[in-house]
Amino acid sequence: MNERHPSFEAPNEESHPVSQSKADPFLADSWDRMVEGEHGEDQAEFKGRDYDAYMSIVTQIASVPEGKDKEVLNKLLANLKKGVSRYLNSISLLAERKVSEELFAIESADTSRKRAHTGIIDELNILSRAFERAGLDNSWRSDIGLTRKDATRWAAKISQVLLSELS
Amino acid sequence: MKLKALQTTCLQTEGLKPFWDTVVLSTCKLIPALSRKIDDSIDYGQVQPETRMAIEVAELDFDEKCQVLLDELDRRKIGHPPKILVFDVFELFL
Repeated sequence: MNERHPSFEAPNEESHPVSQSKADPFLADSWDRMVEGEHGEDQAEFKGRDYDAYMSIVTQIASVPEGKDKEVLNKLLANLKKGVSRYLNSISLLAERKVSEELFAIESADTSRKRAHTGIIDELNILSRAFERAGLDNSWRSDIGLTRKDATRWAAKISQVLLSELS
Repeated sequence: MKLKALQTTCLQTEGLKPFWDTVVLSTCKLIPALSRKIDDSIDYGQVQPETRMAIEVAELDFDEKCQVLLDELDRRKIGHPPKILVFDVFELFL
């Protein structure tokens, strides 16, 4: 899709009276330098502690013998994935509202996002406790990190992993 | 964050914010479609045809809006990344 859509109209510039800034040569240079390295980084996209933590969860559950424990753990993992999915949606909704700049809508979307965010932290903690009960290594929980920001970072990274698994 | 610089440029340069906003809004359509893909795999064990279709449509829209922005940046001789990735835009709102 490299063609400009014929129905696209230039946005109304008058409605956004922001200061004029000239093309930033520094930025242009840095983008140019980035061109070659950009896709080389794709190979390393799913490395690091977030990915390792996710893989620790998945591989350990896979190694549990069939039975009640495995059933429960799989269910909790599915809940966690659903939580990640809900969180993605809530952030999209908030971003959309921010663009439209409707204060009430932004506040409402932000409340939903916070709820989804808390949901992910709960799902991680529930799964971690279930790992402990099943005698599995739950050190992945501390590897992810215990702050809300850690949960956000992990969810964003893992959503990409989940999508890549389905491609 | 690489795209943060482009976002700042777009928001500070007169007339570029609307172009940037269309890319953001397009991201807002694509992410829920991708989320449904995750839901499908949990609920049905495979991605449903309507989800695939929704993703395809949203991806085309996203690519198109990105191209419009990149063309405008080129026209103004403003540097930009070779390609805008949906999750890079998304991460600006985390």
